[in-house]
Amino acid sequence: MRFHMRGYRSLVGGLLAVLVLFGGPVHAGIEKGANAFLKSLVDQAVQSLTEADTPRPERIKKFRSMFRENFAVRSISKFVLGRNWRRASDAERNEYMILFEDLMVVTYVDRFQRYAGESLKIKKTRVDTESIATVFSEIERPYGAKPIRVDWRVGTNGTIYKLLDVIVEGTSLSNTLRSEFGSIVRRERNQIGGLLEVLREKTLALKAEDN
Amino acid sequence: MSLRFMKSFLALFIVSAFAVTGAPVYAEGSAADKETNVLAATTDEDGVNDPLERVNRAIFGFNEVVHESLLGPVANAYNRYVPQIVRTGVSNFLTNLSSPISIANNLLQGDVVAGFDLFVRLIVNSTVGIGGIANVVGGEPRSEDFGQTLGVWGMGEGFYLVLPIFGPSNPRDLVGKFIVDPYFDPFAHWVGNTGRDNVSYAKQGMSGIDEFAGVVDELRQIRKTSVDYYAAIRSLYRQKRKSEISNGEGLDLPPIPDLGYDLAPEDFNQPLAGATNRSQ
Repeated sequence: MRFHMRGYRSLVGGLLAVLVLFGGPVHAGIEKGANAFLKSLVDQAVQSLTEADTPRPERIKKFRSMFRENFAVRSISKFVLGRNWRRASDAERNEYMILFEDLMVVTYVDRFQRYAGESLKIKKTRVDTESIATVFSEIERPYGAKPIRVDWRVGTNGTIYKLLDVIVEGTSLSNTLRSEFGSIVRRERNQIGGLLEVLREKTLALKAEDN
Repeated sequence: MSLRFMKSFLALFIVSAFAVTGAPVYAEGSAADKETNVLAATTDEDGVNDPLERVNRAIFGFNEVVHESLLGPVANAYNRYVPQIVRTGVSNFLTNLSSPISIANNLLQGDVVAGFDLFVRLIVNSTVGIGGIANVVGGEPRSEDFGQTLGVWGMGEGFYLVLPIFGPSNPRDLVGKFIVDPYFDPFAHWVGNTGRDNVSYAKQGMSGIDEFAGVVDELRQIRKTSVDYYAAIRSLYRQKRKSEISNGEGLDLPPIPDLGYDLAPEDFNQPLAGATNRSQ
């Protein structure tokens, strides 16, 4: 009897260890959650951005609220500024985040619209850490043109999911922006103010555009 | 300018580039290039690996003029007046024609299965697909070149290099593309042996138009929205090559960079209408 008891205990212990080590249920949750999040994001984009006769300012407004709700704006903007984030003052950080959001919105509003009508196929989802998963997808193109590979990095706190990065054909949006911003800061003799000035000009020019 | 002359010019260019910077090509590790790259230790604090940045930017500027005045209009006209089905046919034909290069490089990288797949594809598409115009096998084969092979063998990119007309490159990819890959190309041998330079120029011109027409809209978009176009293209090229080199790594998942994102709790703290819907 004692022997049996011990066997039973080690069986339970072993099972617990397996659960803790591999974290099965938790990870499966992230995987499903990330997939569901991406699907709902795509549906939302298709619904709100493909109406052809919506004027651009109106589309920008819709896209901005979608961006705020679905992108981890602070995580991304911090990552993109890299080590310069630590050097920036609070005022600089605040203005930078506003300008960064502006830049992303006016840059991607037209592009999202272009792709929103084409179908996105989720290929696979990989759990990277307990709070980050990557969804691998392909956007199919008409006329037998080559499909575009797009991978989505999704971060979560367990209930809320947000996009951390979009990786098109192996090139990460965050990584590219980080490289660009770094280059500008260096050119401006390591002054964050110089970068802010460039961002101000760029977002103004892009907002004024009419297409 | 004959092809042979161009090749020796390029070879000279590479050698002089090395002489100028004294850079070993093999110094880069895939993830930790910042730490291990010899160049980075002295000139490259942000890991952009671009010691020739001033020269590169000048050549980049020259290329921009060529794009604007020559390649751009040609590519636009091609996209506008040539139907997509013809463009796809041209693209298929050129891919098929150069697939021996991919086969050879797959074998050199030890990927016999991919090499054999491509070989079967070449036979079927060349015959049933009428000289490769129709991609009857379907799907999109991965293209492999000797620059990638060197990368798989562990050689680093060396440093970033902008070539006149051809654009972003590095010594490793330059050697692969212009010096080694032509040896794997039966078409190039046939052209060389029979003295058909015109055919060779025609094919190169067509490849250039096909390639540029495929990206011209995207490039225009990037130029319009980027704050530093040169830095954006440099980053995109280096990321893309890394991704191409590490294909097949990590089961059958496409490779993606591991950037070590740091989640800001603020992003997940605010109560959001959409989020509460999702969690129900």
